[in-house]
Amino acid sequence: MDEPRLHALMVRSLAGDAPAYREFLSTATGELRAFVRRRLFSGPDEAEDVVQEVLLAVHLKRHTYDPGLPVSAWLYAIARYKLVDHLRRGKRRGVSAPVEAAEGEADVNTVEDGAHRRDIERLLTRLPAKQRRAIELVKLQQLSVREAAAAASMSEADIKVSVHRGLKTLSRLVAEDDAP
Amino acid sequence: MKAKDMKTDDLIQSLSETAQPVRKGRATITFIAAALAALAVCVGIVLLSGQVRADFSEHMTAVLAKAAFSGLLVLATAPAMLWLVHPGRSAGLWIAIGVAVTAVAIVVGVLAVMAGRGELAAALGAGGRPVVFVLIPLLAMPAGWVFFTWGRRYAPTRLALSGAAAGALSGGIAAASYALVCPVDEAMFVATWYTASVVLCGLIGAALGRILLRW
Repeated sequence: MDEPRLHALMVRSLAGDAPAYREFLSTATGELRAFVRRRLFSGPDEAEDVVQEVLLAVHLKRHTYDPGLPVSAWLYAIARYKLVDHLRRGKRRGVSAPVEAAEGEADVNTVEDGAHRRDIERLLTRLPAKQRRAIELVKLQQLSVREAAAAASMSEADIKVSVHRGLKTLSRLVAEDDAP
Repeated sequence: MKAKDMKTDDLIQSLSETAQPVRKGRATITFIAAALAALAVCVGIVLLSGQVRADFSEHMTAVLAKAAFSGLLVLATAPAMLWLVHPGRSAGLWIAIGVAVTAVAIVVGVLAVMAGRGELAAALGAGGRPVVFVLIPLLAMPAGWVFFTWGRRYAPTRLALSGAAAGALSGGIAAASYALVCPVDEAMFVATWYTASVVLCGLIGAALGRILLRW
């Protein structure tokens, strides 16, 4: 990391210099992206989410930077904190993923990759029929809960519960598959 | 992936557009303000409780000595707290903690040597008196709320350690306030039980810090 340059940019940023701040954030993003990707193995998309969280934290907490100290130490301390926080939250999400939250992510997590789809289909066969059907309709075919309920002749509540339980089971299966 | 990159660029753009000059170096001032607020709350509770010792004016020196000892505990912890809310200040942190622990250990040690074995044993036994062990942490709770609120405005990256510092600070301030109530004036009692109570507050703070200091 080019500490003197980044330090100069940060000092100017704190004085309210918008172009310097923009350059600081762009330069820092490259460093942060490499930092996060080296430590996060769940793919570049998730890494980019963490990078954005770190950038936001850098912005909101920039008053905690002491210009007498290296800016890289400050930046990496925040990055490390946000990365650990992200992993902790991920762990909690894995235990119980509310169906509403999962629905919001549906458009981001479209399964396009054939290999991924095969993996998921393989895992889905290990789920109880009702949970499998609910996940296929809501997550893979991206129907709304109401449409899925009509298609599967199940109640909406039943669909939600089945998706919820199915995702829980899936995350457990994935964890088991990933375990060495 | 390309789309994500673009989103990050958008984020950078919008963040840099909102760049305002940042007033810096205010952590110490706001910290002192928070500590004074915490002290005011604790003293206020003690006064409202009506438990201030009746012989207060006769034992003014002892009360002040106890408050001063508690003040030492606060002063010992304060630098670590200020260090902890600034990301990347790890080098000085352990020096600050080391100095704090050494300073308290020296004072307690000197008091113990001066007191001699008999008084030390009496203080540690304390005839079931260490009600301070409950009262100081209870009194520290509102002070803790002040320090946790203050801490979250900055950026503590070691939550348990920051929580421990906030807890110990609150304990020190609660102990200084409790000196107005405490009927026991033996130096050794104060050195052992007040310190132990502050350490307990630190442990509680460490547990709470993981949850309450997240940002």
